[in-house]
Amino acid sequence: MRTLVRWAVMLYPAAWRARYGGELEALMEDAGVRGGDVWDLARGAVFMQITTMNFGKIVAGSTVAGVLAAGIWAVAQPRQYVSTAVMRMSSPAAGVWTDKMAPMQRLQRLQQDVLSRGSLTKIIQAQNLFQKERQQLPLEDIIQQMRDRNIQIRVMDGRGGATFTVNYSAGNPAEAQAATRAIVTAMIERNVAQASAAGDGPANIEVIDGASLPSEAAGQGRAWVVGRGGLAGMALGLVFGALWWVTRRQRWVSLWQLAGFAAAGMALGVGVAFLIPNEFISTAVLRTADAREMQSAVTRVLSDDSVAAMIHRQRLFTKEVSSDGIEAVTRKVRNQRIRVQVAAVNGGMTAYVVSFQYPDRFTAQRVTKDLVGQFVGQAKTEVLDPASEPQTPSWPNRLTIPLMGVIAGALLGLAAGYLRREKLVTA
Amino acid sequence: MSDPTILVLASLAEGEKHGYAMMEDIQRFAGVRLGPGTLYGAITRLEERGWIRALESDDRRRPYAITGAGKHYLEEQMVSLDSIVRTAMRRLKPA
Repeated sequence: MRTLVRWAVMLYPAAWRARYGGELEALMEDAGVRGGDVWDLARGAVFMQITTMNFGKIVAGSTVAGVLAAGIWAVAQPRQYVSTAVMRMSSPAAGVWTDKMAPMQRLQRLQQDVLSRGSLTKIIQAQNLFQKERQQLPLEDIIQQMRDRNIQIRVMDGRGGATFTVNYSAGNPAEAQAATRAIVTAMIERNVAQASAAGDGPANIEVIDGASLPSEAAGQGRAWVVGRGGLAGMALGLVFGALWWVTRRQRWVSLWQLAGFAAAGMALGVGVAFLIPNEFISTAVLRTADAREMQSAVTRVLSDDSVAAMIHRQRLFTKEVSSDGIEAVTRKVRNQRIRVQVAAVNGGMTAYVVSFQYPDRFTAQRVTKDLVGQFVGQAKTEVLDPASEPQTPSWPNRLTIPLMGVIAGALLGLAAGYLRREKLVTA
Repeated sequence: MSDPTILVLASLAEGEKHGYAMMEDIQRFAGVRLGPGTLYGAITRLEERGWIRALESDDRRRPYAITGAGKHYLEEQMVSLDSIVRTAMRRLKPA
Protein backbone atom coordinates (compact mmCIF):
# COMPACT_ATOMS: atom_id res chain seq x y z
CA MET A 1 0.00 0.00 0.00
CA ARG A 2 2.82 2.41 0.90
CA THR A 3 4.48 1.70 -2.47
CA LEU A 4 1.22 2.57 -4.24
CA VAL A 5 0.99 5.78 -2.23
CA ARG A 6 4.56 6.70 -3.22
CA TRP A 7 3.72 6.09 -6.89
CA ALA A 8 0.56 8.17 -6.57
CA VAL A 9 2.57 11.03 -5.04
CA MET A 10 5.04 10.75 -7.92
CA LEU A 11 2.16 11.60 -10.29
CA TYR A 12 2.01 15.16 -8.93
CA PRO A 13 3.90 17.88 -10.86
CA ALA A 14 7.55 18.16 -9.75
CA ALA A 15 7.13 21.80 -8.67
CA TRP A 16 4.14 20.88 -6.52
CA ARG A 17 6.04 17.98 -4.92
CA ALA A 18 8.95 20.30 -4.13
CA ARG A 19 6.59 22.64 -2.31
CA TYR A 20 4.11 20.28 -0.62
CA GLY A 21 5.73 16.81 -0.87
CA GLY A 22 7.37 16.90 2.57
CA GLU A 23 4.16 18.03 4.26
CA LEU A 24 2.15 15.35 2.47
CA GLU A 25 4.60 12.64 3.62
CA ALA A 26 4.38 13.91 7.21
CA LEU A 27 0.58 13.83 7.00
CA MET A 28 0.61 10.25 5.73
CA GLU A 29 2.94 9.24 8.57
CA ASP A 30 0.65 10.83 11.16
CA ALA A 31 -2.70 9.78 9.71
CA GLY A 32 -1.69 6.37 8.33
CA VAL A 33 -2.68 5.03 4.94
CA ARG A 34 -6.24 3.96 4.24
CA GLY A 35 -7.72 2.10 1.28
CA GLY A 36 -9.18 5.14 -0.45
CA ASP A 37 -6.05 7.27 -0.06
CA VAL A 38 -4.29 5.93 -3.16
CA TRP A 39 -7.28 6.82 -5.35
CA ASP A 40 -7.65 10.18 -3.59
CA LEU A 41 -3.98 11.01 -4.24
CA ALA A 42 -4.10 9.82 -7.87
CA ARG A 43 -7.22 11.91 -8.54
CA GLY A 44 -5.60 14.93 -6.87
CA ALA A 45 -2.43 14.41 -8.95
CA VAL A 46 -4.39 14.34 -12.22
CA PHE A 47 -6.27 17.49 -11.24
CA MET A 48 -3.01 19.20 -10.27
CA GLN A 49 -1.36 18.15 -13.57
CA ILE A 50 -4.30 19.60 -15.53
CA THR A 51 -4.33 22.88 -13.62
CA THR A 52 -0.57 23.36 -13.96
CA MET A 53 -0.32 22.51 -17.67
CA ASN A 54 2.13 24.37 -19.85
CA PHE A 55 2.90 24.47 -23.56
CA GLY A 56 5.58 21.75 -23.40
CA LYS A 57 3.40 19.39 -21.38
CA ILE A 58 0.48 19.80 -23.76
CA VAL A 59 2.65 19.04 -26.80
CA ALA A 60 4.34 16.08 -25.08
CA GLY A 61 1.03 14.70 -23.76
CA SER A 62 -0.67 15.00 -27.15
CA THR A 63 2.28 13.30 -28.86
CA VAL A 64 2.19 10.40 -26.40
CA ALA A 65 -1.61 10.15 -26.77
CA GLY A 66 -1.22 10.11 -30.58
CA VAL A 67 1.43 7.37 -30.39
CA LEU A 68 -0.75 5.29 -28.03
CA ALA A 69 -3.90 5.71 -30.14
CA ALA A 70 -2.04 4.88 -33.36
CA GLY A 71 -0.36 1.89 -31.65
CA ILE A 72 -3.70 0.48 -30.51
CA TRP A 73 -5.19 1.06 -33.95
CA ALA A 74 -2.21 -0.59 -35.67
CA VAL A 75 -2.44 -3.65 -33.42
CA ALA A 76 -6.23 -3.89 -33.78
CA GLN A 77 -6.14 -3.77 -37.60
CA PRO A 78 -6.14 -7.26 -39.16
CA ARG A 79 -2.88 -7.90 -41.01
CA GLN A 80 -3.01 -8.78 -44.68
CA TYR A 81 -0.42 -10.92 -46.43
CA VAL A 82 0.04 -10.73 -50.19
CA SER A 83 1.40 -13.64 -52.18
CA THR A 84 2.65 -12.86 -55.69
CA ALA A 85 3.31 -14.99 -58.75
CA VAL A 86 4.93 -13.61 -61.89
CA MET A 87 3.81 -15.09 -65.22
CA ARG A 88 4.46 -14.49 -68.86
CA MET A 89 2.15 -15.15 -71.77
CA SER A 90 3.69 -15.39 -75.23
CA SER A 91 2.73 -16.49 -78.74
CA PRO A 92 1.88 -20.11 -79.51
CA ALA A 93 4.81 -22.20 -80.69
CA ALA A 94 3.52 -22.41 -84.25
CA GLY A 95 2.91 -18.73 -84.94
CA VAL A 96 3.54 -15.15 -83.99
CA TRP A 97 1.15 -12.60 -82.66
CA THR A 98 -0.39 -11.01 -85.72
CA ASP A 99 -1.94 -8.17 -83.79
CA LYS A 100 0.03 -5.95 -81.43
CA MET A 101 -2.80 -6.18 -78.90
CA ALA A 102 -3.30 -9.93 -79.13
CA PRO A 103 -1.46 -10.92 -75.91
CA MET A 104 -3.28 -8.27 -73.93
CA GLN A 105 -6.65 -9.25 -75.34
CA ARG A 106 -5.97 -12.90 -74.74
CA LEU A 107 -4.90 -12.16 -71.18
CA GLN A 108 -8.06 -10.12 -70.62
CA ARG A 109 -10.19 -12.98 -71.89
CA LEU A 110 -8.29 -15.41 -69.67
CA GLN A 111 -8.66 -13.09 -66.70
CA GLN A 112 -12.42 -12.83 -67.24
CA ASP A 113 -12.64 -16.62 -67.41
CA VAL A 114 -10.57 -17.20 -64.27
CA LEU A 115 -12.46 -14.53 -62.33
CA SER A 116 -15.84 -15.91 -63.41
CA ARG A 117 -18.30 -17.12 -60.80
CA GLY A 118 -17.75 -20.81 -61.60
CA SER A 119 -13.97 -20.61 -61.53
CA LEU A 120 -13.80 -18.66 -58.27
CA THR A 121 -16.40 -20.90 -56.63
CA LYS A 122 -14.17 -23.90 -57.38
CA ILE A 123 -11.12 -22.12 -55.90
CA ILE A 124 -13.06 -21.05 -52.78
CA GLN A 125 -14.30 -24.59 -52.18
CA ALA A 126 -11.02 -26.35 -53.01
CA GLN A 127 -8.95 -24.04 -50.81
CA ASN A 128 -11.66 -23.69 -48.16
CA LEU A 129 -11.40 -19.89 -48.31
CA PHE A 130 -13.71 -17.43 -46.47
CA GLN A 131 -14.94 -20.03 -43.97
CA LYS A 132 -16.51 -17.47 -41.61
CA GLU A 133 -17.90 -15.25 -44.36
CA ARG A 134 -19.54 -18.20 -46.11
CA GLN A 135 -21.66 -18.79 -43.01
CA GLN A 136 -22.94 -15.22 -43.05
CA LEU A 137 -22.92 -13.99 -46.66
CA PRO A 138 -24.22 -15.33 -49.95
CA LEU A 139 -21.53 -16.80 -52.18
CA GLU A 140 -22.20 -14.10 -54.80
CA ASP A 141 -21.10 -11.38 -52.36
CA ILE A 142 -17.99 -13.32 -51.35
CA ILE A 143 -17.01 -13.79 -55.00
CA GLN A 144 -17.47 -10.07 -55.66
CA GLN A 145 -15.38 -9.27 -52.58
CA MET A 146 -12.70 -11.69 -53.75
CA ARG A 147 -12.58 -10.05 -57.18
CA ASP A 148 -12.51 -6.53 -55.78
CA ARG A 149 -10.30 -6.89 -52.71
CA ASN A 150 -8.28 -10.08 -52.73
CA ILE A 151 -7.21 -10.79 -56.29
CA GLN A 152 -5.14 -8.44 -58.38
CA ILE A 153 -3.81 -9.27 -61.83
CA ARG A 154 -1.47 -6.56 -63.06
CA VAL A 155 0.38 -6.30 -66.38
CA MET A 156 4.03 -5.37 -65.87
CA ASP A 157 5.21 -5.40 -69.46
CA GLY A 158 3.13 -5.71 -72.63
CA ARG A 159 5.95 -5.80 -75.17
CA GLY A 160 6.14 -8.92 -77.36
CA GLY A 161 3.82 -10.82 -75.04
CA ALA A 162 2.46 -10.07 -71.60
CA THR A 163 4.36 -10.30 -68.35
CA PHE A 164 1.95 -10.02 -65.44
CA THR A 165 1.67 -10.58 -61.73
CA VAL A 166 -1.05 -12.42 -59.86
CA ASN A 167 -1.51 -11.18 -56.29
CA TYR A 168 -3.77 -12.60 -53.63
CA SER A 169 -4.16 -11.01 -50.19
CA ALA A 170 -5.36 -12.97 -47.17
CA GLY A 171 -5.24 -12.88 -43.40
CA ASN A 172 -2.50 -15.51 -43.23
CA PRO A 173 0.53 -16.17 -45.45
CA ALA A 174 -0.18 -19.86 -46.18
CA GLU A 175 -3.72 -19.09 -47.34
CA ALA A 176 -2.47 -16.27 -49.58
CA GLN A 177 0.10 -18.58 -51.16
CA ALA A 178 -2.34 -21.46 -51.66
CA ALA A 179 -4.94 -19.18 -53.26
CA THR A 180 -2.32 -17.61 -55.59
CA ARG A 181 -1.19 -21.12 -56.65
CA ALA A 182 -4.81 -22.07 -57.32
CA ILE A 183 -5.36 -18.96 -59.49
CA VAL A 184 -2.13 -19.62 -61.44
CA THR A 185 -3.19 -23.23 -62.02
CA ALA A 186 -6.66 -22.09 -63.11
CA MET A 187 -5.10 -19.67 -65.60
CA ILE A 188 -2.97 -22.40 -67.13
CA GLU A 189 -5.93 -24.80 -67.35
CA ARG A 190 -8.30 -22.18 -68.77
CA ASN A 191 -5.70 -21.18 -71.36
CA VAL A 192 -5.76 -24.69 -72.78
CA ALA A 193 -9.55 -24.97 -72.49
CA GLN A 194 -10.15 -21.63 -74.22
CA ALA A 195 -7.77 -22.51 -77.07
CA SER A 196 -9.36 -25.89 -77.73
CA ALA A 197 -12.85 -24.33 -77.62
CA ALA A 198 -11.74 -21.76 -80.21
CA GLY A 199 -9.87 -24.36 -82.27
CA ASP A 200 -6.69 -22.42 -81.71
CA GLY A 201 -3.36 -23.32 -80.17
CA PRO A 202 -2.94 -22.28 -76.54
CA ALA A 203 -0.67 -19.39 -75.68
CA ASN A 204 2.59 -20.27 -73.99
CA ILE A 205 2.25 -19.49 -70.32
CA GLU A 206 5.40 -19.51 -68.30
CA VAL A 207 5.47 -19.15 -64.51
CA ILE A 208 8.54 -16.97 -64.01
CA ASP A 209 8.17 -16.79 -60.25
CA GLY A 210 5.86 -19.16 -58.36
CA ALA A 211 3.43 -18.03 -55.67
CA SER A 212 5.52 -16.54 -52.89
CA LEU A 213 5.02 -17.22 -49.20
CA PRO A 214 4.77 -13.69 -47.75
CA SER A 215 6.95 -13.21 -44.70
CA GLU A 216 5.67 -9.76 -43.79
CA ALA A 217 2.24 -8.18 -43.76
CA ALA A 218 1.39 -5.84 -46.62
CA GLY A 219 0.79 -2.12 -46.20
CA GLN A 220 2.53 0.34 -43.97
CA GLY A 221 4.36 -1.13 -40.98
CA ARG A 222 3.18 -0.56 -37.44
CA ALA A 223 6.16 1.69 -36.72
CA TRP A 224 5.11 3.92 -39.63
CA VAL A 225 1.52 4.12 -38.32
CA VAL A 226 2.74 4.87 -34.80
CA GLY A 227 5.08 7.55 -36.17
CA ARG A 228 2.23 9.17 -38.09
CA GLY A 229 0.06 9.03 -34.95
CA GLY A 230 2.82 10.72 -32.96
CA LEU A 231 3.18 13.46 -35.57
CA ALA A 232 -0.61 14.02 -35.69
CA GLY A 233 -0.69 14.16 -31.87
CA MET A 234 2.17 16.63 -31.83
CA ALA A 235 0.40 18.84 -34.41
CA LEU A 236 -2.76 18.82 -32.30
CA GLY A 237 -0.68 19.55 -29.20
CA LEU A 238 0.91 22.56 -30.91
CA VAL A 239 -2.54 23.95 -31.74
CA PHE A 240 -3.90 23.36 -28.22
CA GLY A 241 -0.66 24.58 -26.66
CA ALA A 242 -0.87 27.81 -28.65
CA LEU A 243 -4.49 28.29 -27.56
CA TRP A 244 -3.50 27.58 -23.96
CA TRP A 245 -0.72 30.15 -24.18
CA VAL A 246 -3.16 32.75 -25.55
CA THR A 247 -5.63 32.13 -22.72
CA ARG A 248 -2.89 32.33 -20.07
CA ARG A 249 -1.69 35.66 -21.43
CA GLN A 250 -5.08 37.14 -22.16
CA ARG A 251 -7.02 37.03 -18.94
CA TRP A 252 -10.21 38.24 -20.62
CA VAL A 253 -11.06 34.76 -21.85
CA SER A 254 -11.50 31.80 -19.52
CA LEU A 255 -10.04 28.44 -20.43
CA TRP A 256 -13.29 26.64 -19.67
CA GLN A 257 -15.21 28.95 -21.97
CA LEU A 258 -12.66 28.36 -24.70
CA ALA A 259 -12.71 24.58 -24.12
CA GLY A 260 -16.52 24.66 -24.32
CA PHE A 261 -16.46 26.45 -27.67
CA ALA A 262 -13.74 24.11 -28.97
CA ALA A 263 -15.68 21.03 -27.82
CA ALA A 264 -18.84 22.36 -29.48
CA GLY A 265 -16.83 22.98 -32.66
CA MET A 266 -15.44 19.44 -32.54
CA ALA A 267 -18.89 17.92 -31.94
CA LEU A 268 -20.23 19.88 -34.88
CA GLY A 269 -17.23 18.86 -37.00
CA VAL A 270 -17.67 15.16 -36.10
CA GLY A 271 -21.38 15.39 -36.93
CA VAL A 272 -20.73 17.06 -40.26
CA ALA A 273 -17.87 14.67 -41.11
CA PHE A 274 -20.07 11.62 -40.58
CA LEU A 275 -23.04 13.09 -42.40
CA ILE A 276 -21.01 13.66 -45.56
CA PRO A 277 -20.90 10.43 -47.59
CA ASN A 278 -17.52 8.96 -48.55
CA GLU A 279 -16.14 9.55 -52.01
CA PHE A 280 -13.54 7.18 -53.46
CA ILE A 281 -11.45 7.72 -56.59
CA SER A 282 -10.05 4.80 -58.55
CA THR A 283 -7.35 5.62 -61.10
CA ALA A 284 -5.78 3.78 -64.04
CA VAL A 285 -2.98 4.83 -66.39
CA LEU A 286 -3.03 4.06 -70.12
CA ARG A 287 -0.44 4.70 -72.80
CA THR A 288 -0.94 5.01 -76.53
CA ALA A 289 1.15 5.80 -79.58
CA ASP A 290 -1.84 7.16 -81.47
CA ALA A 291 -3.17 10.14 -79.54
CA ARG A 292 -5.65 11.01 -82.30
CA GLU A 293 -7.22 7.57 -82.19
CA MET A 294 -7.34 7.77 -78.38
CA GLN A 295 -9.04 11.17 -78.58
CA SER A 296 -11.72 9.67 -80.83
CA ALA A 297 -12.09 6.82 -78.36
CA VAL A 298 -12.50 9.32 -75.48
CA THR A 299 -15.23 11.10 -77.43
CA ARG A 300 -17.04 7.84 -78.11
CA VAL A 301 -16.64 6.45 -74.57
CA LEU A 302 -17.87 9.71 -73.05
CA SER A 303 -20.80 10.11 -75.45
CA ASP A 304 -24.30 10.28 -73.94
CA ASP A 305 -25.24 6.81 -75.15
CA SER A 306 -22.05 5.17 -73.96
CA VAL A 307 -22.11 6.79 -70.49
CA ALA A 308 -25.83 6.03 -70.09
CA ALA A 309 -25.20 2.40 -71.06
CA MET A 310 -22.42 2.18 -68.48
CA ILE A 311 -24.67 3.70 -65.79
CA HIS A 312 -27.25 0.97 -66.48
CA ARG A 313 -24.61 -1.76 -66.79
CA GLN A 314 -22.87 -0.85 -63.52
CA ARG A 315 -26.14 0.12 -61.77
CA LEU A 316 -24.80 3.56 -60.79
CA PHE A 317 -26.89 6.20 -58.98
CA THR A 318 -30.02 4.07 -59.25
CA LYS A 319 -32.07 6.40 -57.00
CA GLU A 320 -31.07 9.49 -58.97
CA VAL A 321 -31.82 7.74 -62.26
CA SER A 322 -35.35 7.03 -60.98
CA SER A 323 -35.91 10.52 -59.64
CA ASP A 324 -33.95 12.82 -62.02
CA GLY A 325 -33.86 10.73 -65.19
CA ILE A 326 -30.96 9.14 -67.05
CA GLU A 327 -30.09 12.31 -68.99
CA ALA A 328 -29.37 14.33 -65.84
CA VAL A 329 -27.37 11.48 -64.27
CA THR A 330 -25.41 10.98 -67.49
CA ARG A 331 -24.42 14.66 -67.47
CA LYS A 332 -23.47 14.45 -63.79
CA VAL A 333 -21.37 11.31 -64.27
CA ARG A 334 -19.58 12.69 -67.34
CA ASN A 335 -18.94 16.16 -65.90
CA GLN A 336 -18.26 15.38 -62.25
CA ARG A 337 -17.30 11.74 -61.87
CA ILE A 338 -15.22 10.65 -64.86
CA ARG A 339 -11.82 12.23 -65.48
CA VAL A 340 -9.65 11.49 -68.51
CA GLN A 341 -6.49 13.59 -68.46
CA VAL A 342 -3.31 13.60 -70.49
CA ALA A 343 -0.57 12.84 -67.97
CA ALA A 344 2.60 12.89 -70.07
CA VAL A 345 3.85 12.87 -73.66
CA ASN A 346 7.14 11.09 -74.09
CA GLY A 347 8.89 9.64 -77.15
CA GLY A 348 5.78 9.72 -79.31
CA MET A 349 3.74 7.97 -76.60
CA THR A 350 0.95 9.72 -74.70
CA ALA A 351 -0.09 8.63 -71.22
CA TYR A 352 -3.66 9.12 -70.00
CA VAL A 353 -4.96 9.02 -66.45
CA VAL A 354 -8.49 7.63 -66.27
CA SER A 355 -10.32 7.99 -62.97
CA PHE A 356 -13.80 7.53 -61.59
CA GLN A 357 -15.24 8.88 -58.34
CA TYR A 358 -18.05 7.13 -56.47
CA PRO A 359 -19.31 6.71 -52.87
CA ASP A 360 -18.40 2.99 -52.91
CA ARG A 361 -14.75 2.14 -53.45
CA PHE A 362 -15.32 -1.21 -55.11
CA THR A 363 -17.77 0.31 -57.55
CA ALA A 364 -15.26 3.09 -58.24
CA GLN A 365 -12.68 0.46 -59.14
CA ARG A 366 -15.15 -1.62 -61.17
CA VAL A 367 -16.26 1.37 -63.23
CA THR A 368 -12.66 2.45 -63.83
CA LYS A 369 -11.95 -1.08 -65.06
CA ASP A 370 -15.00 -0.78 -67.33
CA LEU A 371 -13.73 2.53 -68.74
CA VAL A 372 -10.25 1.09 -69.27
CA GLY A 373 -11.80 -1.91 -71.04
CA GLN A 374 -13.71 0.43 -73.35
CA PHE A 375 -10.58 2.44 -74.19
CA VAL A 376 -8.53 -0.71 -74.77
CA GLY A 377 -11.27 -2.04 -77.04
CA GLN A 378 -11.49 1.14 -79.11
CA ALA A 379 -7.89 2.35 -79.36
CA LYS A 380 -4.50 0.70 -79.40
CA THR A 381 -3.54 1.37 -75.81
CA GLU A 382 -1.40 -0.27 -73.23
CA VAL A 383 -2.48 -0.45 -69.58
CA LEU A 384 0.46 0.86 -67.57
CA ASP A 385 -1.38 0.78 -64.27
CA PRO A 386 -4.74 -1.01 -63.91
CA ALA A 387 -7.67 0.47 -61.98
CA SER A 388 -6.54 0.95 -58.41
CA GLU A 389 -8.57 -0.11 -55.39
CA PRO A 390 -8.98 3.12 -53.41
CA GLN A 391 -8.07 2.43 -49.78
CA THR A 392 -9.13 5.71 -48.23
CA PRO A 393 -11.90 8.09 -49.27
CA SER A 394 -10.74 11.13 -51.21
CA TRP A 395 -13.43 13.06 -49.38
CA PRO A 396 -14.35 13.83 -46.60
CA ASN A 397 -11.25 13.85 -44.43
CA ARG A 398 -12.80 12.82 -41.10
CA LEU A 399 -9.81 13.91 -39.08
CA THR A 400 -9.42 17.32 -40.62
CA ILE A 401 -13.08 18.39 -40.34
CA PRO A 402 -13.38 17.88 -36.54
CA LEU A 403 -9.93 19.45 -36.14
CA MET A 404 -11.07 22.46 -38.13
CA GLY A 405 -14.19 22.49 -35.93
CA VAL A 406 -12.00 22.60 -32.80
CA ILE A 407 -9.92 25.45 -34.17
CA ALA A 408 -12.98 27.36 -35.42
CA GLY A 409 -14.74 26.81 -32.07
CA ALA A 410 -11.69 28.01 -30.12
CA LEU A 411 -11.37 31.09 -32.32
CA LEU A 412 -15.08 31.77 -31.84
CA GLY A 413 -14.54 31.42 -28.08
CA LEU A 414 -11.68 33.93 -28.21
CA ALA A 415 -13.85 36.32 -30.23
CA ALA A 416 -16.79 35.89 -27.82
CA GLY A 417 -14.52 36.57 -24.82
CA TYR A 418 -13.08 39.65 -26.50
CA LEU A 419 -16.51 41.05 -27.44
CA ARG A 420 -17.80 40.43 -23.88
CA ARG A 421 -14.85 42.33 -22.43
CA GLU A 422 -15.40 45.23 -24.86
CA LYS A 423 -19.07 45.33 -23.86
CA LEU A 424 -18.17 45.37 -20.15
CA VAL A 425 -15.57 48.12 -20.69
CA THR A 426 -17.97 50.35 -22.64
CA ALA A 427 -20.95 49.69 -20.31
CA MET B 1 -21.54 20.98 3.41
CA SER B 2 -18.60 19.04 2.01
CA ASP B 3 -16.67 21.70 0.07
CA PRO B 4 -13.06 21.02 1.18
CA THR B 5 -12.02 24.68 0.86
CA ILE B 6 -14.81 25.83 3.25
CA LEU B 7 -13.97 23.01 5.67
CA VAL B 8 -10.27 23.99 5.70
CA LEU B 9 -11.11 27.68 6.19
CA ALA B 10 -13.54 26.79 8.98
CA SER B 11 -10.84 24.72 10.66
CA LEU B 12 -8.23 27.46 10.38
CA ALA B 13 -10.71 30.08 11.65
CA GLU B 14 -10.04 28.61 15.12
CA GLY B 15 -6.26 29.10 14.82
CA GLU B 16 -3.20 27.93 12.89
CA LYS B 17 -2.92 24.19 12.16
CA HIS B 18 -0.80 21.80 10.09
CA GLY B 19 -2.26 19.23 7.66
CA TYR B 20 -2.89 16.37 10.08
CA ALA B 21 -4.40 18.70 12.72
CA MET B 22 -6.77 20.09 10.07
CA MET B 23 -7.76 16.58 9.00
CA GLU B 24 -8.53 15.57 12.60
CA ASP B 25 -10.38 18.81 13.34
CA ILE B 26 -12.55 18.56 10.23
CA GLN B 27 -13.41 14.97 11.01
CA ARG B 28 -14.43 16.05 14.54
CA PHE B 29 -16.66 19.03 13.66
CA ALA B 30 -17.98 17.96 10.22
CA GLY B 31 -17.80 14.16 10.39
CA VAL B 32 -15.88 14.13 7.10
CA ARG B 33 -12.43 12.61 6.63
CA LEU B 34 -10.68 14.51 3.86
CA GLY B 35 -8.26 12.28 1.94
CA PRO B 36 -4.65 13.51 1.70
CA GLY B 37 -5.05 14.42 -2.00
CA THR B 38 -8.28 16.31 -1.37
CA LEU B 39 -6.87 18.16 1.67
CA TYR B 40 -3.68 19.26 -0.07
CA GLY B 41 -5.61 20.13 -3.24
CA ALA B 42 -7.74 22.50 -1.14
CA ILE B 43 -4.66 23.90 0.67
CA THR B 44 -2.97 24.58 -2.69
CA ARG B 45 -6.01 26.43 -4.09
CA LEU B 46 -6.56 28.44 -0.89
CA GLU B 47 -2.92 29.49 -0.75
CA GLU B 48 -2.96 30.52 -4.44
CA ARG B 49 -6.04 32.67 -3.81
CA GLY B 50 -4.42 34.27 -0.76
CA TRP B 51 -7.08 33.00 1.66
CA ILE B 52 -4.55 31.09 3.78
CA ARG B 53 -0.78 31.47 4.26
CA ALA B 54 1.96 29.05 5.25
CA LEU B 55 3.83 29.91 8.42
CA GLU B 56 7.57 29.57 8.90
CA SER B 57 8.53 26.20 10.35
CA ASP B 58 11.61 24.01 10.70
CA ASP B 59 9.42 20.93 10.83
CA ARG B 60 7.96 19.18 7.79
CA ARG B 61 4.57 19.70 9.47
CA ARG B 62 4.15 23.26 8.25
CA PRO B 63 1.28 25.16 9.89
CA TYR B 64 -1.17 27.37 8.01
CA ALA B 65 -3.16 30.40 9.08
CA ILE B 66 -6.27 32.01 7.61
CA THR B 67 -5.76 35.52 6.10
CA GLY B 68 -8.07 38.53 6.25
CA ALA B 69 -9.33 37.81 2.74
CA GLY B 70 -9.95 34.20 3.75
CA LYS B 71 -11.97 35.28 6.81
CA HIS B 72 -14.01 37.67 4.66
CA TYR B 73 -14.75 34.92 2.12
CA LEU B 74 -15.68 32.45 4.88
CA GLU B 75 -18.01 35.00 6.48
CA GLU B 76 -19.74 35.61 3.14
CA GLN B 77 -20.20 31.92 2.62
CA MET B 78 -21.53 31.40 6.14
CA VAL B 79 -24.03 34.27 5.82
CA SER B 80 -25.29 32.75 2.60
CA LEU B 81 -25.42 29.30 4.18
CA ASP B 82 -27.14 30.69 7.25
CA SER B 83 -29.84 32.23 5.08
CA ILE B 84 -30.40 28.90 3.35
CA VAL B 85 -30.49 27.02 6.67
CA ARG B 86 -32.98 29.47 8.23
CA THR B 87 -35.26 29.34 5.20
CA ALA B 88 -35.15 25.57 5.07
CA MET B 89 -35.83 25.22 8.84
CA ARG B 90 -38.74 27.68 8.65
CA ARG B 91 -40.29 25.80 5.78
CA LEU B 92 -39.85 22.47 7.51
CA LYS B 93 -41.73 23.64 10.65
CA PRO B 94 -45.41 22.65 10.69
CA ALA B 95 -47.77 25.60 10.06
